[in-house]
Amino acid sequence: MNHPPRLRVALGLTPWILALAALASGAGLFVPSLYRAARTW
Amino acid sequence: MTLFALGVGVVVWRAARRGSPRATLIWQGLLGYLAYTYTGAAFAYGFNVLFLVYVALFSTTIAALIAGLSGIDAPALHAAFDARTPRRGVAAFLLVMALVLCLLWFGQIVPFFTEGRLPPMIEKAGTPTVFVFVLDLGVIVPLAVLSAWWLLGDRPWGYVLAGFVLVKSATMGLALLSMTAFALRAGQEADLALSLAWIALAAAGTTMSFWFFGHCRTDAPASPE
Repeated sequence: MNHPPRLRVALGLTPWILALAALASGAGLFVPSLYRAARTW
Repeated sequence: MTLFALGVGVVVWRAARRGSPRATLIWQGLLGYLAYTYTGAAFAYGFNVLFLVYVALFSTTIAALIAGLSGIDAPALHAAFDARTPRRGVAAFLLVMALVLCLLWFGQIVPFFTEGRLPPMIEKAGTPTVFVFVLDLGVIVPLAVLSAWWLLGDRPWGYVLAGFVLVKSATMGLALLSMTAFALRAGQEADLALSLAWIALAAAGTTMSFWFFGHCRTDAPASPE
């Protein structure tokens, strides 16, 4: 499918956005404990 | 809720890449939901280790929304809706939603000017301001009114914006409902009027989204070749 350039930019950004949002919501729950563990280790 | 939205996001993103008009509209609405959520997180959450992730999400979602909305072909999306699309029903819902948001937030803001009393949400949160007032009154309410106006006039951008606001209202209603449920489980008090408003917003937003998008084809090209 040939999308216009600006739509391609938005489509290209989306996987990164979804990955970041996964980190900030679900996976992000584990980040503080990982961070603390890394600091004390 | 965000994890559920991400699952839906992957599906509609893939379908939007294939050119589905319905998926393109839902994808933009989900980006709107993420932009709203993480703009709030970046500006209003207590500083924590995810701060830079919030900033990255604020930046990338706004960029994707600007690129997406300026790159889509609104007339092609308009043409993907059938003649029985419930324009009046959706427009009425959008106007009622805008009115309810105005009543909820002005009900908290106006007493500051008449009685010098801070909005209860600010007193409860202990923050300088409430980002929800800014985004709802400054972005969501004007978008809801504008999309209702254009939808009633059968303008192509009315369909794009209405789809955007519908997805945003359904996801935000569900998110606020789940936040209220978690707060209650944690032993915190919940405002009954606000909780009822979120239940109504989630139920009506989801129903209206299914009704509206049920009249949009999934196979037509979203943009010219």
